[in-house]
Amino acid sequence: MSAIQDIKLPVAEAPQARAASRPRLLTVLTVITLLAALIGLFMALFYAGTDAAQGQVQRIFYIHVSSFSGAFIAFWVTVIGGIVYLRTRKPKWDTLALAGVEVGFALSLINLTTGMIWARPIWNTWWTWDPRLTSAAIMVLTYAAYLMLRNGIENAETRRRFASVYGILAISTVIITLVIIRIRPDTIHPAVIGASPQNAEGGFEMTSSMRATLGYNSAVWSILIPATLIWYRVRLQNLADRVHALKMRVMSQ
Amino acid sequence: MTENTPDTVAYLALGLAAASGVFLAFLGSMVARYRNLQKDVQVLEQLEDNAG
Repeated sequence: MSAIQDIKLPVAEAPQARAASRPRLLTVLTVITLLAALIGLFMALFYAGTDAAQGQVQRIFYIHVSSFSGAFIAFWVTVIGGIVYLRTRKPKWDTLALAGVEVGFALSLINLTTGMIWARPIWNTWWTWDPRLTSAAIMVLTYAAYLMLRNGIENAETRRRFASVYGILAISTVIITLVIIRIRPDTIHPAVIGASPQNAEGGFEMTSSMRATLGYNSAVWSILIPATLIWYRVRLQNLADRVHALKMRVMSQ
Repeated sequence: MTENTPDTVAYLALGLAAASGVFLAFLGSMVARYRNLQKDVQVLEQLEDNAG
């Protein structure tokens, strides 16, 4: 693309009518998501009570847990996109699956980094090879590999088929990460919902304001944020496909 | 809060900064890619028009 980008053409001369405009519904969704996220942040910082044992750092949990919820939903969107693509062979479902992976990957990075920062004062370490942390790291690396491997396949049909199968199988890492604190008694990671494992360190009793804050943030991060980001990512991919098609047309002239 | 509550506000600030950083980096990457692709579309359409 760099050779094409080097050609200097005034932007004003470009046919503006052909530029894709943002749907009104997406604009409304973006505003609602932004407001809802800000309300959630306000609740996390000022409404929820302060944990007596952990201090202010416990408030990270409202983002840490919620971002995992968002990643969980986004990765399931990838599974749905992959399954429907394999059945119908319509590229739009592969585009949806790709969008799910990118959004889920970003949200799981937020989950991982906030978890590390919470762990430093509570566990006295940034990282430990605990079963939960290890499975979360494997999950993030699995989806990073999806993005890298996908870009390495030239043939579009092969790429889509491979990515669909990979995206469906990769959900196993998400499920393992979710349930591992229930099946491995040696984990020190606390469970926010339900009883923590016996060796858990850093658990806390939730008051009603904490429950409301966690519930609200989880809903925003699981529904609004993934939906908005996936929509934008799908539009980006549609534009990339349009560029590819245009390039083919120009080259064939 | 009790007198024994640890002062961990710096870690809260660091956590918020890290979460915002990752989020903004992802948004920024999407915006940058979108702008580059739009420029490509404009150039390619211009080339197509000139050829046609």
